[in-house]
Amino acid sequence: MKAWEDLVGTALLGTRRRTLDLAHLPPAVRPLAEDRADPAEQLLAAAAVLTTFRRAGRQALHDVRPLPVATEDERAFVPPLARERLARLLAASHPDLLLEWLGIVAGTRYRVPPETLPLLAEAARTKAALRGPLVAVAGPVGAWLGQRNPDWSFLGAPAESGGSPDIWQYGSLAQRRRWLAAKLAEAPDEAREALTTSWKSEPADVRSDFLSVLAPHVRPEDEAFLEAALTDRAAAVRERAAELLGRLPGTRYGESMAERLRPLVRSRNRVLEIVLPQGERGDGTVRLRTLVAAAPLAFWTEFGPPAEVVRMTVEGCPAAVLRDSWATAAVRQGDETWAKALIGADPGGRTTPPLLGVLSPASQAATIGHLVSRLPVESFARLVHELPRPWTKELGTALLDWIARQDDHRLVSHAAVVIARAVPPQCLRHPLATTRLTMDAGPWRRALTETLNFRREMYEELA
Amino acid sequence: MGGQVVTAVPWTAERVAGLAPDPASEKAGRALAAPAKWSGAGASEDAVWGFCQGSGKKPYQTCVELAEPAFRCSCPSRKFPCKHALGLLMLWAAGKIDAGPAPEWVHTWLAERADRARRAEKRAEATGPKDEEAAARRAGERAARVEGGVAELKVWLTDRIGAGFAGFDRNGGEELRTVAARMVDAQASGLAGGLRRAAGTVGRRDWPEALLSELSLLYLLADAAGRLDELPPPLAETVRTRLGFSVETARVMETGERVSDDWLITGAADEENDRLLTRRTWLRGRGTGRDALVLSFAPPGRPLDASLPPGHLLTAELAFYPGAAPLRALVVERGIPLAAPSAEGGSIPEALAAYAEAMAADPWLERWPILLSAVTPAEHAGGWCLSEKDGTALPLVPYAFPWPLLAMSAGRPLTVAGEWSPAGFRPLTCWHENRAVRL
Repeated sequence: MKAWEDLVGTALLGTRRRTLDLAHLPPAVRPLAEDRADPAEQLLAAAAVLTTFRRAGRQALHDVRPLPVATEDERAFVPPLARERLARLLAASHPDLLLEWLGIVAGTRYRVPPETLPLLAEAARTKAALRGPLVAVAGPVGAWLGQRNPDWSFLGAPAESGGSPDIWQYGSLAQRRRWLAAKLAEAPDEAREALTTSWKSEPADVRSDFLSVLAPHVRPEDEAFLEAALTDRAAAVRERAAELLGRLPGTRYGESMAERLRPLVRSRNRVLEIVLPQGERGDGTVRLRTLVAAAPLAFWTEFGPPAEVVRMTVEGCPAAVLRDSWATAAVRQGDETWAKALIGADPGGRTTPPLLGVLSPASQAATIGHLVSRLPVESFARLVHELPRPWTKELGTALLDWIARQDDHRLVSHAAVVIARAVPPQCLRHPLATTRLTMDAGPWRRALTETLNFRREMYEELA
Repeated sequence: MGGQVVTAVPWTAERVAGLAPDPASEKAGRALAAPAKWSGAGASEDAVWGFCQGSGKKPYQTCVELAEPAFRCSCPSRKFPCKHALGLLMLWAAGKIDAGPAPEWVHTWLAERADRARRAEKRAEATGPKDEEAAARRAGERAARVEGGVAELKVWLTDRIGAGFAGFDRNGGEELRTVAARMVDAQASGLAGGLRRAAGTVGRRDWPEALLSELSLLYLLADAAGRLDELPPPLAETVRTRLGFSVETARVMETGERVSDDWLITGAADEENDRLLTRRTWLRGRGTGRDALVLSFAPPGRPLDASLPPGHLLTAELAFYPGAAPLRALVVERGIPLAAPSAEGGSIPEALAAYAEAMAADPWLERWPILLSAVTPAEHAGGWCLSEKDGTALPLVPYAFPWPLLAMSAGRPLTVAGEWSPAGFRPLTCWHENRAVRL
């Protein structure tokens, strides 16, 4: 509108410097301006009318193109109480409980109210662990949102379970990881073929990453592939490959490690005499660690049963080096006897938590019960933080039984936080959760009871 | 439980959340909405009560009177309502508080409140007419000061336009804020507000024309202020209101236009200005089609009126403030708000036509309520808009967070209520699968 632009230009410059030409004004506005004597007032009067006209006469937009329509989601909304719970979870920022809640919903035929999806997507943007369950819960509406908002593109991931090789070739790293994991479960041979074909062209961190994806699926046929990876340019890949090879029984790699170890170990009068391996470079203890961690534990049976070997005096290297390496081997090889022996020899040691992960559920709980009586409360409370998860029902119950007997202590209260969140759902009806608290119960005990009950209600509301 | 115990229908959790004075309180309240935190909790037709175990030895005594609502808690918090009251209501909303007869302490408090209300009413009756003379004198003094302010503003405006406002952006509209402060001194709060709005435009991409728009409307107001006697009475009332003269509640109650209807509470928007919280609640009469605006004010940390929850239907009689395009109203007689799971709005052309008509009566109108049926969020020129099936659309205000609306739509049409202003459409409430959602 020419008249309006004239007014704005004149107002910027000032009516003293630029004369306002009233002739340019629309005929209906001109008399209103001419009523005034001062040119500034003439301008303001005309501008007021035009402003009102422009605002009141504002036109709607036209020819706006509609967005595509998301696939219908047939699932019912989570029940009202669960909806409330979600609002509490989003407001209180407990990412671990939110993760658990989403995990439960993902296993049901429910969806969340769509208006909560933006907040959930924002939470998952910064906390990647939430993404998997959120994608399932958010369903087609989530995928639709992910296509609209680049920050949430993880929601819009195309359906991958069908196993389109395009994802393996062109997908993002996260998509490729998911594809590989799914493929390793459904079609192990195809998965390995895809992995070996592209192996050489992957960057080092991706190679190491894919080995972790392979870890839970590793099988004897992988020996050659892993052995080749032992000579990888990247140290992280070599370490991961050695670790995976250690999980396989009877590999050539394990045997060769044992052979190299044999001349270095001797026993005399319940003393293990160790000679540190020589090499062109590097520390002998580091090389010894590699050998012991990679050799089959059966190698040590000629010196006695595990429970005895781990208690023998060590000469030639620090005993801790040997124990740590045995622990690494026991975890890799999943050897329960060795794990028990090592825990028994040094219950407060830092290898105890990973070693506990090797034990069967029943023996895990029994060992925990045993440790409770042997370790000072402080050491045991620290141990709780490092216990490998997920916990079994037996382990969870054993830990709840333990903490129920404790008095107020800083480390106990920290352990209580971990226990409350990590015990599996079958433990949520433990007497600790269902017995009424006494009035003098400490804050940590209240928090523990509350978290247990909160989680129990989460499951009940979505049952 | 005695068979005769009656309880009020629990509110929705959203309605409880709407009471929170700030997001932190809402969060703390939600955390307290666990049965384990409470003992001796109960609910009746008038109130909800309970004991909340805090960090101290003695539990806090919390009670909410539902009608107004009013809150009492023995905790030391200065927030209002405190987290305990919110937690208690959340728990009640979740259906986890049983009905029961109110204990003695709750009775005592309810009786005290009723008593105080009666005394206040009596006092108002007793003191009403006495001060009339003094009030008239004060009103005269105020009018004279505002008149002085109006004259000063006119001089400043013409001087500024004479000299040109190029260069205003260099000091970020400082001069405008100085003049605004002088208008506050002159008790012309409407003029001060307009100047602050004008100052806010400086520095924007299109600031020269936005500034001229605001200043010209202020000029129009100042000009009209000098001719109040010549204006038709309703327009004169509008001008007085825009200048900042308030209309006494009693006068609105006595002489305001009364409209009874089933009012759909279409939305509420909260805003903080000068340490004062304002809640604009919009209503639309189902029978009359009338739009109404109910304002509520509170200092931060004090509760805003929460008796008009968005997405509810309320049978009520309203009394409208006088004016050329009467919008602001008081609730005179009211029933109980009932959840309105769906709503019926109009089309975009209808809404814009109604807005144009209102603008013609009151050119200083800042916001206009719009209720649209069958609109879909869509993209347009890099921004978001709400589009009808034929591609007619209204742009959203640039600061709107469109994602909850988008998620509810997923490409399908919705009913949306909100505020229209020169900046665009601000969505406030949306109806989706048989429930209203506050945005």
